[in-house]
Amino acid sequence: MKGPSLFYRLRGFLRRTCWPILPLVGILLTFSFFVQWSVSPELALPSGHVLRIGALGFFAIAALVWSAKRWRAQAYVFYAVVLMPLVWVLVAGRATNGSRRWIDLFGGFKLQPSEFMKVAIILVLARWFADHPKPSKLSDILKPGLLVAIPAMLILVEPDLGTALVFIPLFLSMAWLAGLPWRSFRWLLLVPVLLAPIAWLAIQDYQKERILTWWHQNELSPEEIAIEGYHLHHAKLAVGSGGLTGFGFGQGPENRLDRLPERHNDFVFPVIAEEYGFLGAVGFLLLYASLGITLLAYAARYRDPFARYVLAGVGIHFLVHLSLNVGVTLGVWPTTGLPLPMISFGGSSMMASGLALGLALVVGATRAPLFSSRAFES
Amino acid sequence: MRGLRLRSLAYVFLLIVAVLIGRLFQLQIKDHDYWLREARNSRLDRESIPFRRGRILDRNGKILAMDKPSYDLFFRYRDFRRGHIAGQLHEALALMGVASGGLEVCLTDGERLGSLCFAWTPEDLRSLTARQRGDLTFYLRGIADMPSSLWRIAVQEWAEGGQGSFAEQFPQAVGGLHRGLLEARREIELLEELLGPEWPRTLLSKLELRRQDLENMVLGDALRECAGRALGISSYSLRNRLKSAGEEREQTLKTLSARWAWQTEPHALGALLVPLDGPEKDAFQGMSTAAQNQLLDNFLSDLESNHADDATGVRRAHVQRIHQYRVKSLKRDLSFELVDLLAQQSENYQGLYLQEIARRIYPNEISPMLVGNVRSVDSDETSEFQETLDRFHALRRIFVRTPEEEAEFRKVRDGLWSDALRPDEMRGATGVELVYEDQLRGSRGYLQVLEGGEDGGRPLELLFSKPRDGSDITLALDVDLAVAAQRSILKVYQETPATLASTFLETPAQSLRLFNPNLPRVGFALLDLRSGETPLLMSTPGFTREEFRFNYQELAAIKAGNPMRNRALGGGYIGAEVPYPGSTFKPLVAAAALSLNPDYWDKVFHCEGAITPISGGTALKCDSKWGHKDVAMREALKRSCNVYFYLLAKEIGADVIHAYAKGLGFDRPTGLELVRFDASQESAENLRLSGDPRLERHANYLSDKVDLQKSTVRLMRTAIGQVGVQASPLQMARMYGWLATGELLQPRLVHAGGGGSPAREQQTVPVLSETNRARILDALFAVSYEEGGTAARTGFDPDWQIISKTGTAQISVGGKLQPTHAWLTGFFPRDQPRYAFAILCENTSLHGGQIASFILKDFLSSPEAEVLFE
Repeated sequence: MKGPSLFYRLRGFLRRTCWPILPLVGILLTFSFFVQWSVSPELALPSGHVLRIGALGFFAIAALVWSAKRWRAQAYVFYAVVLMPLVWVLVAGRATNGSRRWIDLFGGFKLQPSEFMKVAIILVLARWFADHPKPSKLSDILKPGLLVAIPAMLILVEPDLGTALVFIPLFLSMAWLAGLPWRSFRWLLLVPVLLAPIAWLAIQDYQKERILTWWHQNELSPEEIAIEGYHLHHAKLAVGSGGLTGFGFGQGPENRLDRLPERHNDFVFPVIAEEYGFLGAVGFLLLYASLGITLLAYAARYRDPFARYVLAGVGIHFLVHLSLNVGVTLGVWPTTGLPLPMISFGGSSMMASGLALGLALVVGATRAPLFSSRAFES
Repeated sequence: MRGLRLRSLAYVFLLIVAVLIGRLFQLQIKDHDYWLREARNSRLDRESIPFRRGRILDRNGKILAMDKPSYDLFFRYRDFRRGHIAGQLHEALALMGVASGGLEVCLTDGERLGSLCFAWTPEDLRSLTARQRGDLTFYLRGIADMPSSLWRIAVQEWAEGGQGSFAEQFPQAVGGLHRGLLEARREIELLEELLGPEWPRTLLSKLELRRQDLENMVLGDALRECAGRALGISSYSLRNRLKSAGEEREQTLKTLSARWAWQTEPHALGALLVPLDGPEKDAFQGMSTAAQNQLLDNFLSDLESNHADDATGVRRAHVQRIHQYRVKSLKRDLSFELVDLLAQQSENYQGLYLQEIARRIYPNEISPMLVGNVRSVDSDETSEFQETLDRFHALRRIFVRTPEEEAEFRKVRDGLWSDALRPDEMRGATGVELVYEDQLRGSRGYLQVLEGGEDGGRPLELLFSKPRDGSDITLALDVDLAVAAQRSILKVYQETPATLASTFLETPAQSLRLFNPNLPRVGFALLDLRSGETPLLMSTPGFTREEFRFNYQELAAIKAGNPMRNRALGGGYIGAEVPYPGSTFKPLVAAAALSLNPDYWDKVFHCEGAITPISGGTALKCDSKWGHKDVAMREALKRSCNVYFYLLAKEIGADVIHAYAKGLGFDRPTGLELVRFDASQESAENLRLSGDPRLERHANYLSDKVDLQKSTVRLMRTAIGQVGVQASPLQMARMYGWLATGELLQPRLVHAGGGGSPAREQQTVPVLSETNRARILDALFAVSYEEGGTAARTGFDPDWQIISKTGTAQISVGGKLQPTHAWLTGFFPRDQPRYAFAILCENTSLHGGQIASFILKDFLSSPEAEVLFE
C-alpha cells in the first residue's frame, strides 16, 4: 500500500509545524536581498548573498533530516561537536584584525563556529530543562550555566564580545521559562550587574573606549567622532536623516557615498532606516520581531517540553539579536560586533539561522499542537 | 513552563522593540532636522579660497609690498610610504628588520631589494604581530603592483598560513615590481629636471633626510611617552620635569633607570629623553640623524620587548600621527612647469603636494622698517583660533539652538570661514604691515560642495563666496626720491674730501679719519607742508629683508652704523639714539625771544668765542674761535653764534624756551601713524604707544622745565640745541614747517585718501607773528645765500629759495667727545613753502654746511627731485 504522496506529507508537516514563520522568513530573506543589493558597490547584484540564502535553506532542510527525538537525544553530542571547533579556532583558526574567529574550509570558505554554538546552546538548554523541569533554586541551574559559560568564555577569548553577550539573555530567558522561581531568578539578574566591574577590568582598551564613546555619544569632539565614535555617529546620521519615508532604494547618501562602515554586516539596519525611513524601519522591526514572537507563541502550544524550549529558544535567539544589533546602531547600547541574522552578510550566521529555523520546524512537527492556553500549566 | 512566563518574556521583548521604535521616532522624526543637517554638513566639503592681501604702494603707485601667488612643494611621508614604490620597499624591509639603505637606494637598487621581499615565506612572517603582517602584506601588494580590491584577501591568506615564497605564490609580482620601478624612475627623473640645477641633491636623498627627521621625531616622542607612562604622567609633564638640571630631573631619571633596569648612568638616559643645553645636547646633536635614530630605536625596541606595559602601541600611535600630520617643506615658489606636472599627474607622485601660498614680496626695498614685514601666527593667536573652533563645534552639536545661540553660531561660523586668523596664514608684524593689518587683510572666500549632491549622486556646488581682497595702502613715500637721496648721499660722501680741500679754507686740518665715505650714516626727512605727508624718510645704512631674515644676529651685533636704527625717526629695532639738534634749534629760541619782546631782534650781544658761566666750570664755546664780536639776532642766526644764544637764553629764561619747545612737540614722538597714542593721556611720560612704537622709541626729548630753571648752564646749552633737547630729523622738519607756515603739521606716512588717518589731534602751538617770522626767515635765507652764511658756500640754486639752518651736534659718550653730527634743516621755497627738510649726518666731525647742505644740493639737482618744484 502506498503511503501518502509527498504533497500530502508536506501539507501535513506544515499543518503540524509553526508554518507562519515560513512566509515571515521568506519576506525577510527577500528584503535582505534588496538590502544587500543596495549596499553592494555600484549596485551590483549580490550574488554572494544569494548563495548564502541558499546555504540557509540547505541547513534548514538538513535540520529536517533528523527527527525531534533524534535531536533531543543527540543534543549533548551536537554541543560537544560544535565545542571542538570552538577550541580549535583558538589554536589554529584564521586571525583577522587581531581576533581568531574563523576556520578555513575548502575552496576559500571559512566557518565561524561561535554562530553554530548559539544553536547548540539552544539545543542543550532545551534538553537540560526538558530533563530537569522546574528548577527551584540557583544550584539547580549551575550545570546548564556551566554549559553556557564554557563556550561563552572561549568566545570571549577570541575575542568576540558581541556573540558572548548573546548567551546571557538566552540563558536567562530559558531559565525563566523553565520555571526558576522569582526569588532565585532575581539574583540571577544581579549577576551581570555584579560582574560588570570585574568585566571592566578584564576587557580590552578598545572595548572600554567603545563603552565610553557610547556613554558620551552626544558630547564627542570632531576628533573623537572621526576615530572612536565614527561608526555610531554615521549610523545615527544615516538613521536620523532617513526621516519618515527615507531616500529610497540605493539612494541613501551614507550608503552610496561609502560613509557608513560595515553596512553590509553589523550596521545594516541604518541602511534600512536611511533608505526606507521611519515607516520602513518600524515595519522591518515589527516584521522581524513577529518572527520571534510567533515562535514564542507557538512554543506555548506544544506539550513536549523539548519542543517548547527549542521553539522558544529559537524565537529568543532572533529577538535577542534584533534587540542588540538594532540597539547598537541606534546608540541604545555600546557598540559590539553582532550581525542581524538573515539580513547581514555573514555566511556562518546564515547557516546557523537556517539550522535554527530547521530545528524549529522539525521539533514543531513532531506532535499535533494542543490548542489549549493551559498547555503549560502543570 | 508557564504561559504567564512565556507571555512575560514576550512582553519584555516587545518592550525592547517599543524602546527601539521610540528611539527611531526620536532620531527620525523628532530630531530629523538636526540629523539631516548634520548628515549634510558631514558631506560638505569646503575649500577655502585665499584672499589677496592689500598692496602697499608709494605715492606714485610703485609697489612696495604685494602678494605673489606661488606654489610650494610639500612632502607627507605617510602618503609616500603607502603610495610610492620606494617608500613601500623601505617600509616592507624595515618591518622585517632589514636596512634598506634609504629611499634613494630603494629606487636605484629596487630590483634586488624587491626580490629580497618576494623571497619571504609565511614562516618568515611568524615573528610579526598580526598588525605588522597586515602592514607587510599591504606594502608587498604595492611593490608588486597588485590592486588591493582583487588581491587583498589572497595575499592576506598567504601571509596567515600559505605555502611557498611570495614570488612563488604570486608570479606576476616580479613583473609588477619591474614595471613600478621603471615608471617611478622616469617620473622622478622628470621631476628632478624641473626642480632645477640649484637642487643640491637628488630628490629621493632629500626625501630620505626628511624621513629620517620624522623618524627622529617619532622615536623621541615615543620614548618620552613611554617614560611618561612609566611615571604615570603626561609626556608634557615629563618634559617640564627634565627640562632643567636640578633635583627634580635627577629624581625622575633615577626612578626611570630603576624601573627600566638602565645599565648606565641616569643622566645618559636623560640625554636621550630631554638633553640639557650644553655638552649633553651638543654631543647628541653632533651625531648624524641616522645614528641618533639607531640609538633611539634600539632603546625603544628594548622597552617594547621588556617593558611592554610602558611601550605597547606607543610607537605605532606616534608613527600614525607624525607621518600624517608633519608635513615637510621641500621647495618654495615652484616654476609653472613643475606645478603643472604635479597637478596633472599627482597620482604618480604620491606624498608630494602642492600648496598654493600667497607669498609676500617687497619689490622695492626702501624703508623696510616703515613698510614692515609679515609673520606667521604665534601661539596665542593659534590658541584663539582653536577656542573659536571649539566654540563652533560646541554650538554645532546643540540639537535645537535658541535664537541667541543660532545667531552666535552663524557669527562664529562665518568668522571661521572668512575672517578668523588661521594658523596657516600670515599677518603684519612690523611697520605699515602691522599697523594697517585691518585694511590690508581681506576675507577668505570659499567654495562649498555637497559630496554626493542631495541624492547621493554627483557633487553639488552649493555656495561660492568670492574672497574679499585686502585694501591697498598708498604711502606718502616716493621710491624715486629715495633712490635719488641714496645716490646723492653716497656721492657727496665719496666726494667730500675733495670738496673740503677746495672749498673750506678755514679748517684745512679738519680730521676726516672717523668719516667713512663708503658707509654714510644719514637720516633724511622731507615733509610736505601742504598735507604733512612724508615723501622721504631715508635712513642709511639700511638692510634688506633677506639680511634681516637670515643674518639678524650679525646685523644686531654691528656697533657703529647699525642699519636697524632709523635715523630719520629716532627709533628702530636696535636701540635708539636721538641726537641733539645742535644749532638748528636756535631759530626756536629766537622765535621765543621775539614773542616775548620783538625788540630782541635788534638786541646786540658780544661774542669773544666763549663765555665762562658765573657758577664756574667749563667755558661755553662758540663755533668761531675768535668770536663774532657784536652780533644782533640776524647775524647770530646767519653765522650761528653760540655765545649770542647763550646770553639770549639766559636773558629770556627757561619758561618761554620750554613752552615753545613743548608746544612744538619736542617732548614726544611726532605721532606718525605707525606709532599710535592713547589720546586720553596728556603728558609724555604717560603716553602709551601702540602700533609699532619701536620706530620712534625715545624719539625727541626735552628736559624738564624745572631742570632748565635750576641750571643756567643747562639752559644755555639747550638754547644751542645741546643737552636739554634731543630731536629726530622728522621732528626738526616739523619745527621748520611751523616756521614756514605757522602750523605744526602731523606727519603722515600714508597718502591722503590712501587708507590712513591722522593719529591725534593737533596740540596748541606757539603763534609767531608775521613780522617775527619774516625776520627769522630773512636770517635763515641769509644762511643759505649770503656770504658768511654757514651754508652759503654750498652754492644752492637761487631759484630754489632755500631757507636753511646748519647745525653741529656735539656728542659725548662716557665723558669722551665723539665725532660730531652734522645737520641741515629748513624748507623751500621761501615765498610759498612746499617742503621742509632735515638732514642728519652722524659722526662726520663736519658741520652741516660742509656735508649735509651738499647732500641737499645734489638731491635737489637730481631729475627725480624736479617733481618737488612742480
